[in-house]
Amino acid sequence: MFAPIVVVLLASINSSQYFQFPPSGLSLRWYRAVFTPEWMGPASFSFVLATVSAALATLLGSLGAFAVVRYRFRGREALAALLESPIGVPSIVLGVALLQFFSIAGAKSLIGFPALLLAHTVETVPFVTRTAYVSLVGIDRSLELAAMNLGARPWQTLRSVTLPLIKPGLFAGGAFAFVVSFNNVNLSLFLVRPGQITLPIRIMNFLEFGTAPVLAAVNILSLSVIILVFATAERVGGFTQFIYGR
Amino acid sequence: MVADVELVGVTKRYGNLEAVSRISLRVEQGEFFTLLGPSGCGKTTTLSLIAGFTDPTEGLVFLRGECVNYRPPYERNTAMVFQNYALFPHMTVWDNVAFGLRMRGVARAEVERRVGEALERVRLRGLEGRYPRQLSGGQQQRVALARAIVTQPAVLLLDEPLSNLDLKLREAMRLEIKALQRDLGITTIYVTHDQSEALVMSDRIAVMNHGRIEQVGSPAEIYERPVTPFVASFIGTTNFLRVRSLNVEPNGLASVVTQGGLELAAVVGSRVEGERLLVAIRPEKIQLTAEREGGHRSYRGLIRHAIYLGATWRYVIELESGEQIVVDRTSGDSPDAFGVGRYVNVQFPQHNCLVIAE
Repeated sequence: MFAPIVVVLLASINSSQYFQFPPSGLSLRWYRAVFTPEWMGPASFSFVLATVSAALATLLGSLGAFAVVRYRFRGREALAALLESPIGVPSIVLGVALLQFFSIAGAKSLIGFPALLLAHTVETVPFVTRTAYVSLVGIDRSLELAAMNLGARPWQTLRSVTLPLIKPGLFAGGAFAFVVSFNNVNLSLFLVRPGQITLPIRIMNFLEFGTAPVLAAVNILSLSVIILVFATAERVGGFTQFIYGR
Repeated sequence: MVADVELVGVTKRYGNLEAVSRISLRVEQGEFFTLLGPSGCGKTTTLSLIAGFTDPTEGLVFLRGECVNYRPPYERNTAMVFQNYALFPHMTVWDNVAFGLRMRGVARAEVERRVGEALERVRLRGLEGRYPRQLSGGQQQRVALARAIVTQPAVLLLDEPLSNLDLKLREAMRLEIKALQRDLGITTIYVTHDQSEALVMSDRIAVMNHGRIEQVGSPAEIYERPVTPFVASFIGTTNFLRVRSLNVEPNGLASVVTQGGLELAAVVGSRVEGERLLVAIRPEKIQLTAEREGGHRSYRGLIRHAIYLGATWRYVIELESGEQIVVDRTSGDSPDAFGVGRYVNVQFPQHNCLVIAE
């Protein structure tokens, strides 16, 4: 499973213009090429987009899950289905649909970051809804009753008991949301505009002119970003606790 | 005087199911009051109604004279110890115990002092920084107790708190909880299905069945003078003999002829007119003597089984009337005379034969 990554890693520190194995010499020249506006622009754009959309998705997904788990109301099943539905729609279809929607609505000026943010949030909400839902259902209800019995008002109970207990689930969902957004091609393809391009789209564009070792370095760097995000989510939210239990 | 807890005609329905039916009870200041009954009898629902986790369909709940119907749990000043303890897993022992005081906005210095005292009381000093999962079951139990008493509640509610502990620890904790309750003088409602727990700890017991209270009384009253067959059989073991005819004298004493034809002198419990009647008698109250001794109103019986229970022998005896009874005898009293297959004389002391309605 890790073999391709090892190959890419070796390619990224290869000094030659062409990919050779074993490498003819070691060099960081491709990394120097990456740390230029040409690549760092899309990379930081993608990072900001993924961070903001993951945060939004976490907020919306957890609120939705909370409503579905804790309240009985008309349209409860409908809300649950709505929150899950983006997973069932091929994202390329969603991308085209959103593009047409913005055109028809006369909101072409929103193409770029606002449209991407909307699309990525919609796409990633189900991941957070799922994890938040599972976390909420898994909470021992007597803990919340105990808090209220000890004098905690509903919002105090939420803040001091419920949220800390579902935190690992929220961070797990948020981390997945980040990765889904950071790697997304299908939606972004239709919604980027010059100067507001995501990293995967930049890579696609670059690939039209053939491959080059600089891509290996780009890959390694984007992989590092994802690892860093997961490490942070684990450190702050302890999300492996959600995935593997205590 | 105003009772600390009073329920008046309280009913709780879930759909068609009546979990609690027209319950009325008063729990006085400082009393240790137990709700005893089998699972599903409504005892935990009753506790939830007092804590405010759910509201009655009918009837009124009073705490210290104030009607608290529809008042949320966080405004009721009760403190519950849950069956699974419900300790907050993400908080240390200290933060768990301090929780109730912090929610009430108690000043920091006073929180320090009172949490310290509460932990001292349950002998958990030194474990303040531990998390619940790092504690044994008995220690978790004591954290739950400390967390409840530290808020000085109007009433302490205990929901089968000992059911997750092993036997030895359970017996030790019974005494510990009882001592704590007595020292603090805190009004306590204790829910359990364990009759010996109820007998050991309670000032008064309410025996519940199918959402109703069958009898309220001191442990001795409940044991010696059960008013229904359910109470008599739920607490300890009881022999029931069907009554064929009953003759009650004005002084409350009665002579009874049982289905099998035994003529017994008995006392009458409550409400016995015109219903199917039983004579209830505890196994340890029945007297056995060697066959040849005999005597007035003594009956011959055959020992079918003899079971050694340590402190006592339990005999299953078939009377010549065809009725079968269980008799307990202290094991020191010459068990040789009472082997299986031997005949003995059986006597039923009048004041221990209780006539009750079926």
